[in-house]
Amino acid sequence: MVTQWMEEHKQSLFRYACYHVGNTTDAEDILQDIYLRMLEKSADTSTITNLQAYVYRALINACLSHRRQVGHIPLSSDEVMDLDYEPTSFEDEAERIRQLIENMPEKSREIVRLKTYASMTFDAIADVMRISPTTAKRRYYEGLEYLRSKYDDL
Amino acid sequence: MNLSDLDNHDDRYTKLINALEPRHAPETSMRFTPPALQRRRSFFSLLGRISRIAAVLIVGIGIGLCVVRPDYAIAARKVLELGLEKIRTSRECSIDLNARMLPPTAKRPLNMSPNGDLVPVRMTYRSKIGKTELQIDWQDRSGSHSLEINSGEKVRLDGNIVEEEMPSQAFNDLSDILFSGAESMKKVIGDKKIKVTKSNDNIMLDLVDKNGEFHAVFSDRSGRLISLKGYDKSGGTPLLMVETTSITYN
Repeated sequence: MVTQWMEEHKQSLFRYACYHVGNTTDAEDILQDIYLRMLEKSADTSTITNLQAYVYRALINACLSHRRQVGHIPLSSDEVMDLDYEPTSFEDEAERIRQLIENMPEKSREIVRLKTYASMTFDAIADVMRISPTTAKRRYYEGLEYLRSKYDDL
Repeated sequence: MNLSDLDNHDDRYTKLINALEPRHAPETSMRFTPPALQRRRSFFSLLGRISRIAAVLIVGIGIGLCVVRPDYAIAARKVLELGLEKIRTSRECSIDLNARMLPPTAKRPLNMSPNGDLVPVRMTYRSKIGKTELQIDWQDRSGSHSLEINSGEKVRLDGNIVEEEMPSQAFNDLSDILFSGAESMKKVIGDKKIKVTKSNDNIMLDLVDKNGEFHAVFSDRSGRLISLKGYDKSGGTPLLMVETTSITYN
């Protein structure tokens, strides 16, 4: 069950992890690690009622943990924070997006990532974050609003 | 924020949502396969990425330095350590080598020497979350030995501590090198004599020095380490010091 689900959703999981940690190699490492850990606990995972929420929770924790370990030197480039700037590579784009999201309130960040990169509904996000769909929606827009207020030209 | 206002808010945030939208999202070709069905899972799935190439490359350079440049012992240790850290997320990898070994000493537990015998050596990496172990088992003329190096912990030879805590600062300073691939390996040891070339589907790394040579070949397509050889030239003609015979992941 776990293998099939991971295979079916790997592109979404991968995209989420990529934009969280900023590079494809580490994203694959993290996914592989989560997968193997889930297999090790396969007896427990058979009782999981919402596998998507479970996997994404594990993925969020793994990405956050990875970033704490690796650390990150933020780009100070003005163009990263210029919304009209069109990144030409995944790396530039991931860095710009990471910077934008890091400027949001902490409670909004994962919700924006899940909405944007995992293409989740607010109901699904609510399951992952263990909050109500209304709260998920409110935090999503709070994040956008907070960021929007930083840009005079919006 | 009034929730009733939210439904039509996307217009208000169009530019921002657009900026957050991924346009260069990469796709993965990785496969999730249960271990029981895997034969050589990890060389494709783990070494098939540049960091894996770099990790094994670094470990290979560390071994190579031990062999051809004994005066680089400290650098070799750091280089090995660096490689270990990078393969932290892999589970287990075994590399079988033939290496010319003398009995270990406290200062040189892994005592490769041109005067040693060419003996089989098995290097095994075991990785758990936040912890990496490298175990090197071999049998030289003095008997069987086992060297254990744990990331951030102690070094043990045949169960006895020979080195206190491994330095970890190097990881912080050099982590960017790991991400930039094999070409940047030159910076790790600052040796201009290391040459990295690409030919067809292979990446070749060659370190040629008057005292010795070290050659590694990696597949650029799968990331697979194809071969690794080290020669000592201090006696004039190149003397084979280390050579991989097989590499497997579990």
